[in-house]
Amino acid sequence: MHIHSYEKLWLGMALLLIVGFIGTITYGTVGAGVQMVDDSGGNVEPGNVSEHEEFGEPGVEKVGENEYDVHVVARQFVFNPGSEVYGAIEVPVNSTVNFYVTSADVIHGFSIAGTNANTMVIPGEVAEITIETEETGEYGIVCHEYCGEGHHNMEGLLRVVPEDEYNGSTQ
Amino acid sequence: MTLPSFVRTRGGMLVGLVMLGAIGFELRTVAGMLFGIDLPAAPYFIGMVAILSIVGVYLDVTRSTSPDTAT
Amino acid sequence: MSTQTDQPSFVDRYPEEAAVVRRSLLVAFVMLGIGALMGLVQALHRTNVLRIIDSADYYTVLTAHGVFLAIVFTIFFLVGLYQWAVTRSLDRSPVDIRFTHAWATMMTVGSLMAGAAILLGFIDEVPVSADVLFTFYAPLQAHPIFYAGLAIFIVGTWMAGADWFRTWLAWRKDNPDERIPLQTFMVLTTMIMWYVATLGVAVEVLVFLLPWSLGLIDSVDPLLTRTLFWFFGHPVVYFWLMPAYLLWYTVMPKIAGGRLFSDPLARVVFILFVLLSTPVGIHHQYVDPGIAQGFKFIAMTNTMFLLLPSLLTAFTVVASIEHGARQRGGTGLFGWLTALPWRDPAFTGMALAGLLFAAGGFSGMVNAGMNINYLVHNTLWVPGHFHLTVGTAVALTFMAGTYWLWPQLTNREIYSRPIALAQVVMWFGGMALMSNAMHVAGLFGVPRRTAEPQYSFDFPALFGTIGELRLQIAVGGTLLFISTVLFLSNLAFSLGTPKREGFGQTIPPALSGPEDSPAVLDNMKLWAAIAVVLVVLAYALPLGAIISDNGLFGVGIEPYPMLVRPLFDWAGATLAGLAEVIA
Ligand code: HEM
Ligand SMILES: [Cu+2]
Ligand SMILES: [Cu+2]
Repeated sequence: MHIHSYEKLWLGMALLLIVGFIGTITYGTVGAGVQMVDDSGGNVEPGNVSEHEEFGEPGVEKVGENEYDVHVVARQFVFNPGSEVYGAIEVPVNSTVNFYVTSADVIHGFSIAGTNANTMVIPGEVAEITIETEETGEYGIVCHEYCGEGHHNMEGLLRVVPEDEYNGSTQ
Repeated sequence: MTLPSFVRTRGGMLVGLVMLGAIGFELRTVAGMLFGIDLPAAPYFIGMVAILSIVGVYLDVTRSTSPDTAT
Repeated sequence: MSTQTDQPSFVDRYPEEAAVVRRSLLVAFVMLGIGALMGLVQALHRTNVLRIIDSADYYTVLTAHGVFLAIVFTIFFLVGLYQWAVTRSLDRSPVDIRFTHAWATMMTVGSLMAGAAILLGFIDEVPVSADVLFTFYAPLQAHPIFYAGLAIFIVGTWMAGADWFRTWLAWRKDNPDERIPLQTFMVLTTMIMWYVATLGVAVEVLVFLLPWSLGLIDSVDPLLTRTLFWFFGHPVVYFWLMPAYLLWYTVMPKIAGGRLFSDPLARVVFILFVLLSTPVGIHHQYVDPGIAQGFKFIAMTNTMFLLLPSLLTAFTVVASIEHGARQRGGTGLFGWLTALPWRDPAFTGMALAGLLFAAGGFSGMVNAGMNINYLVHNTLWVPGHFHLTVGTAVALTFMAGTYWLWPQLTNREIYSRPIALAQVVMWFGGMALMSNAMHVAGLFGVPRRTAEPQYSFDFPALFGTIGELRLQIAVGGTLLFISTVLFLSNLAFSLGTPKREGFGQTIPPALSGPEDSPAVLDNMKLWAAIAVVLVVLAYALPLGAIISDNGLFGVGIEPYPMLVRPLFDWAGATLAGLAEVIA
């Protein structure tokens, strides 16, 4: 089979490119420690969310020196907490925040606009994502997966406040 | 001095100009996203269309082949 | 477009087959028209430029847009094109043309059922609806006729594949020692990939969603059904792309005035698609909880290797076109570009489609990067990406290919060449605008699949303004819609141009032919077997893990039928009024 020499060169460069991509991503995951959403969050029955130890009373909880757990329940068409009826999620700046998000009904999304904090929210599964709060300010939270006819109303707010203004409650 | 004529057909000229337009349009995005240079939309696009129109007229005038003989 | 020749055209030689091809293309184009209208409504609605529907109805529109364009339009065009390609390249009719009619009918009936279920969503008086988007994630639940329609449609495509395999086997009996002609090779490999791929969606629909929507089973697991969907959801993109590749490899070099550079490499490319298209679907689930990171990593590496066939295609296609240009008298390092037939909408359309596909390839590499994906997942970036790929590389190539193929199917000239040229160029311009703005908006965090991405907070624009991007999407979408209308009306007028002779076209053999390539390339059984093994390797463990965590049918998952919805006032009222007038 005859392969033109330019074609061989091109093939070599293509393979190099591919291996390069895989290499950088491997480095990002193993070396730089970029965490993926995975199966670490465990499972929870959507029908029983309200009786669940953590999701029964979702919200912010201090778990360490500068570390907070936030449990969020998504349902058509609100985040609890996060949406207006439940109050914004408030955390102090310069802390590690672990979000645990699950759904009580259909598939939703949870993303903090303009950042790479982004996960699917699937009934039965708990999504776990961790962020470091580096700058104070207000960040919008969007449901980015179609979840029914009120989908476009599903939003929330994350407020990152200075350490001395943080009073440890959801508002 | 005569410049080499690039344009053989009006069809080719149209395609070329639209491609240049698309590239010009993307350049503003590149400037904004990669280099943080925020070029104002209206003057940029109006300027771009004006330049492309002038280029278009010029190329059409200097076109070598008539559209009837080219394919 | 088509130059005058003294050969008989396809319709002269195979009138019955030509009729099947024509009908398939017509169904495809009707769907394209409806889909484009929906696209325009979306582009204007979500940018808040013009709102003629209720935001709750946006999702009915979006479901129709996704299903009609990404499933029905693309696949009907595919079966038409492939019927032509098999008949032409084997130079023989199907074994039994009644079987050919049977699958075409099945597919049409299936589309009508699914389409009706979707469109009835506009009418509240009728308790039928399918506002589940083309991904139909459970526990959102559509009416059973939606799922049944999909199943029938897919069985129709399976029969079409069987028909082509049968024709090939019959040909093989008469030609035991010949290499499979390239176009037939492309058709058969595509269909092997399709059989493997559709396994996922067939199980999803027939074992889970359809019985569930009929009330036969109580619940289904959202993660499991979603994973089965994406088992199918990635390879389907190659099902869209491979007919476009067939046109780029076999037709475009010819209209550029040359011939294909290398036949064996074209075969290698299609085999790579058979092997690698399916074991990558989990890359659509990079941000899904419940799937271990290792499985995502395997999907990512496979995905990166799937770049290879497309990179090879870029080389071969450009080399073939350059060869054509030099045959036409083109010279110089880049000067040959001016010698190409840019007046010809068939050529220009395909070339522009290929150009935007290169851009789409780059944004696809970003999507594929497991950890960069977080930034863009489910943002408007993603529709920005696939309007370059399926929405342009595929759709525009199909339209351009039609300008070349249609006269051979009808013995009638295309009504207007200049309109056709303006049409393809307009698609290119409109898409450059819309898709670029979508990519940028996505990077700013604007989500996709949303009637009103206008929340109580603002998206942070890194340059320019969000308002400007909205305008670009609206203008681009409008240009695309006008382009579609131009295409459809040009074709409609072509039904009335006078019949004449001289539309026959041949496709020249490749510069380096298949003779000296290893015969193993043509071993369909071998490639099918390896493809299955790769799929088992990629999917057995993740599916097993999901099932062992959640059981086959999930725990405590309620269905959410998409039935109760606010009034779609005028359509409902109009129909009620119409009913009164009739009664
Ligand atoms: C007239 C030309 C078109 C226009 C104006 C248009 C516009 C749009 C817009 C604005 C969206 C985003 C909606 C949203 O996420 O909220 C969209 C989604 C989509 N478009 Fe198009 N489009 C066009 C042509 C096409 C073509 C030719 C195809 C494929 C062959 C296509 C396939 C899709 C798909 C699959 C989606 C995603 C649907 C979903 O998220 O469920 N579009 N389109
Ligand atoms: Cu939601
Ligand atoms: Cu994919």
